Amino acid sequence: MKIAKRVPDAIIVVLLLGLSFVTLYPFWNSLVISFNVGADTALGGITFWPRVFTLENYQVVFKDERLIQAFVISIFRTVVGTFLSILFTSMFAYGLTKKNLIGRKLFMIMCIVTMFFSGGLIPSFILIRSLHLIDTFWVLVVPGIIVVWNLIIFRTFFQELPDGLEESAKIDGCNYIRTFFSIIVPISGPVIATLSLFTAVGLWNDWFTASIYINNPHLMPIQTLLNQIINSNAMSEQLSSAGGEASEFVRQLKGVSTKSLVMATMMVTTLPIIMVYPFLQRFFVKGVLIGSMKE
Amino acid sequence: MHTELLAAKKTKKRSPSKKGILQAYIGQWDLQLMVIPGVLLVVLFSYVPMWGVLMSFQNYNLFTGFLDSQWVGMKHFDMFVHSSDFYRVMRNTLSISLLKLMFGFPAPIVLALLLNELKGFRFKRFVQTVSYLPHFMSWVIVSSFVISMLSVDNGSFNIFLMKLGIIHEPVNWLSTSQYFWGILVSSSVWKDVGFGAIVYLAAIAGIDPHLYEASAMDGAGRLRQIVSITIPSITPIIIIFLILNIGGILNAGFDDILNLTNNGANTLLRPVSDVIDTYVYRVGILGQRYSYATAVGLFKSAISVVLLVLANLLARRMGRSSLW
Amino acid sequence: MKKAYRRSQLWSVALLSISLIAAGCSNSKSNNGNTEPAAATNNPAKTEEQTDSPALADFKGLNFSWYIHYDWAVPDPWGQDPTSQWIKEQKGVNVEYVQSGGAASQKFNTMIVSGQLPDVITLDRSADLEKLVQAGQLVPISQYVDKYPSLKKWAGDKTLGMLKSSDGELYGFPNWYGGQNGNTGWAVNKEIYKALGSPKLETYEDLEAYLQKVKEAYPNVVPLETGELSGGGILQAGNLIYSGYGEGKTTFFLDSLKAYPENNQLQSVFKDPALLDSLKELNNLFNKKLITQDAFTQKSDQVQEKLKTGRVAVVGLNNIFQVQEGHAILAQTNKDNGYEVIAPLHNQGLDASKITPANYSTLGWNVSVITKHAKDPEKIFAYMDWATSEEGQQLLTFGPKGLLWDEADADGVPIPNEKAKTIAQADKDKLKIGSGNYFANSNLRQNLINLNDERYVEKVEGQFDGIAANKVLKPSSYDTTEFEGIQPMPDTDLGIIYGQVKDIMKEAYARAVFAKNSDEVTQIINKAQSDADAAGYEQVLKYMTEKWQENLKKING
Repeated sequence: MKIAKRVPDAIIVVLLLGLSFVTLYPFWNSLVISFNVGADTALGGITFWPRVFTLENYQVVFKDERLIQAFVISIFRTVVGTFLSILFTSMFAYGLTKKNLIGRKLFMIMCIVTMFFSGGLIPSFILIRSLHLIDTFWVLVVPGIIVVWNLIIFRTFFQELPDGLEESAKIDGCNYIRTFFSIIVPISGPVIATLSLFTAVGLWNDWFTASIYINNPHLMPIQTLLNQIINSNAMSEQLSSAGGEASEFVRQLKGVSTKSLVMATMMVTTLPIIMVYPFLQRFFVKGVLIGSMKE
Repeated sequence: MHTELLAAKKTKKRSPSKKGILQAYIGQWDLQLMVIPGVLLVVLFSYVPMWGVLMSFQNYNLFTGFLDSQWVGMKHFDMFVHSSDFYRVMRNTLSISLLKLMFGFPAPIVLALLLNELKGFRFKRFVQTVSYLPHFMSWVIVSSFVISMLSVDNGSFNIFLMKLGIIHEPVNWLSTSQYFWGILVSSSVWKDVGFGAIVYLAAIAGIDPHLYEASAMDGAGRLRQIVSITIPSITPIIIIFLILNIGGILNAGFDDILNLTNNGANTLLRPVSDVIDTYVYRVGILGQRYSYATAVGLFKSAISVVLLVLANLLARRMGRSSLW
Repeated sequence: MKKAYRRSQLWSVALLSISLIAAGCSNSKSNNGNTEPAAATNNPAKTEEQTDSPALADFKGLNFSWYIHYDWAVPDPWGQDPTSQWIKEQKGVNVEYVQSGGAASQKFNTMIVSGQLPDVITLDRSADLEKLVQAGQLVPISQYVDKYPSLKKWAGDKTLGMLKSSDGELYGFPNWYGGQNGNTGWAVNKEIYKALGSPKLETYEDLEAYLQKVKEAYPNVVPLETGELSGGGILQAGNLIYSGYGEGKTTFFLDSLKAYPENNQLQSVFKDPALLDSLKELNNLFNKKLITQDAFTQKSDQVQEKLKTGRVAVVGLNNIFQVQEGHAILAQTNKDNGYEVIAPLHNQGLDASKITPANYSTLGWNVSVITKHAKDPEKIFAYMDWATSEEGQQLLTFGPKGLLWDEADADGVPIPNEKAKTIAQADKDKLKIGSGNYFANSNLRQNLINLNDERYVEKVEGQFDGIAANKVLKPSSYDTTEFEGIQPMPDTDLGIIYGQVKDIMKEAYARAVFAKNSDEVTQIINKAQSDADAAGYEQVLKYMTEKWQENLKKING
């Protein structure tokens, strides 16, 4: 009996260990490369441990004066953007769960349509410009407040909440807004945590918005910077094989930007957002919902 | 039950039958106040620029602008549907998408269920965190791993298989078209399985523990509990995702395909790797045919919406949760 | 903080100079080892001093915005590196870069739509340039050329004539113009070549025999490395093999143009017997596993890895100087090892002196244009003209005076100072000397570098021999200037057909290399030709032929 119970456990552990290995290895390898001397990395064959250890790549990354500022912008954008997005999207979603909401179906369909149809970059650019949002911090935040995908997930979760929850509040004469904040939000820890994470990751990783709408170097987020570095590395390689006059110029440009440096930059720019998840994991413990209901 | 009745009563009270819709609207000011900001944002940032789709009926010229560009009607749609690549592109798009749906869709659910069965909190936390790492690596970097791993010369995968005696000489994985879909699907499942599992973990976290206690008392084993409690509890979110995925079936991938084929330069794979989005990129964007690109995009959206509506209808017919 | 930073930089500069002698100059010199520049450049300094000086002061206080239209362009803020700092302080010029943000084409479109073009745009001579011209957004620089000394002098009437747009005006200030060297070529691994008895390597039969030997003696070595796939979807070594199957063939015909000239007509490249022959040869080498099996999938990292670890016996590349880094590493452990450029291989019975895989165009690489948004376009032109003059090129090639050189000799060649001799390559790289040279005057620049190298840089044993390489490459270079700008714009009807033909080419090429046998290769190419015909390639060829003939008229006056 005991053995029979343990066997599945063992299988699960082995399976998950295998998965952990294959998902961790490339990341680990990138980390190792970021601590290896660039010229040596180019010889290949680096796997689990740096061959010629150095901190130089990180020194170069942190020497870049733009980096710290870009960090601040990214953090600010992620925090403000996530807060606003979760706030407005969840309220919107909650409203959509109420059958008596006037315009409910229309709103829902309107939102779903935007998942498939968009006017494209040029009309959006014209709009953003006429709103005078170009080269402002808010362009990094405001257009992305309502995320329809999250809206749908929120709505699904709210719909699944036990019906009895809101009853008492209704009897006490609370309005919907009050009910939402005092009853729904406190018991929606897991979904809010999940969607905050998704939103934060999305905002943190988005490089494109800034590359179009931001010219001011002081407002560049970190991923736009990283994308440029990766791009200049990749493109210069393509160009240098093109032959002709450009190739030597490109080789000069490339000189500093080795694979090790790219990896170091990637680590510096992704580690902060990766660290968010472990902190949110306490919201995924079973029983959060019930605990709060009892109170 | 009780709440439903209550809600029904309220609806009646506020329903616009007698005093008109305006009054009902004012009556639910609190509810409307919660959705208005969202509605306005969607209208402003998604619907105001929507006129851009009209470019697909033009030969849009950047300098003359929208108003002075030449109207060409359905020309671009015609060209796409009758182009020699159409059949191939559609076939690849649908095949790759269906494969991704078959393997990529259930994988995070299975992972979430497995994680949920883990007893040790630390190990669980470790696996959770580690499995979502690949999501943060760009496809540029991931693809260089995949390509060097699968290369004939010194590729670790070939060396591994040869050591095991499964093959006797290196296989040219990425130059042989029949392997590509497998490589593509497994690497994209690998990349996003951990990230995708998070939302199911959140759903599982919301399940009432009493349900498990009660069924344990009834003598239900673990498998029984998974089948009769966990899965049914997360079914609504699974259904919603499934509907959305069916609507997104023409999104077979872009970054992954482009990078695994060296930005499309690996033409040996093009017969199996060219999907709508890579085609638009190659012909529309790189070829600077913006109106054409918009038209193909619109074509894609239209089909997606039809698929979505059908999927939603089916879900409703089956009495499951639906999008609207 | 800042002071400390600067000091550490100086310190590292000093440290670094050591290896300038050791390895440093191999980089810059190699490309231009040729010591016989055009006659005009023989004595640059003296002539420059007389003609350049008067107009120099004209751009003090100039301030302009500058957009470099490439995804990869990430210019550091102006004034951050020593070169632009010098220009800012000494010349009073300030630049505000507009960043592409890694999304150049979208950025460009939004700039046009919003009517907010920057003052200066650097871009390829492509459809985007033509669009700007047609929309009347650019300031013609023809009006200034005669008023300022340098561009007129160095580029010459023919190059400037060819650069003119369809409306007869000149808009683009050229970059890397005037060069007369291609760099497509073959190289062999010296150690392996010697160990196998240095056999004759001239024809493709020699090559195959040698590759066979390599394969037997060194199972872990790639006999023939082709580099990563070129932008045109061609194997780089395949370009070379193609060019060696006929006299007067060059990489450019196959890789870019997809057409070749015959009897004053451009013909479809699929009809070129050299293409079929080269594909049969590649197919043969591929099936015998004498060529890298990853040819269609590898990225440049992997190629460099093989080169640097010496696991390549023969290599053919569009830019053969890419073996330099590998050479440096191999030569470190054994000064006789490394890579050596060899004369182009060819089919038996052809005149070796007429085999020309490398190609160049005197128009250079890209152009910088001044838009109508510029407040004072003439001042900007004056600055560009200065940048391409001897003083400008000295600065943009060797860095500001007082950094790595203090004096120039009588010919205007900077003499490396102590710092230059001791600086390490990595630290030298950090100074980003040369990275802002968007007005490069190839002849002048090459001459300065060659003379500098010849006169002041100590030769180190085992160093990559760029001068010898260029002695091989120069005679095998084909001047393709006359084919510049003849391709149809991509969004026109002809351009769409042309795009289809390029796709047909890419797919057919790959399948032909992987074909079972040479009969299949023939079938694939015949099929490709009929597909191209069906797409309407004849019209495109006719159009390109006309444009080409117009070019010839321009060139021949």
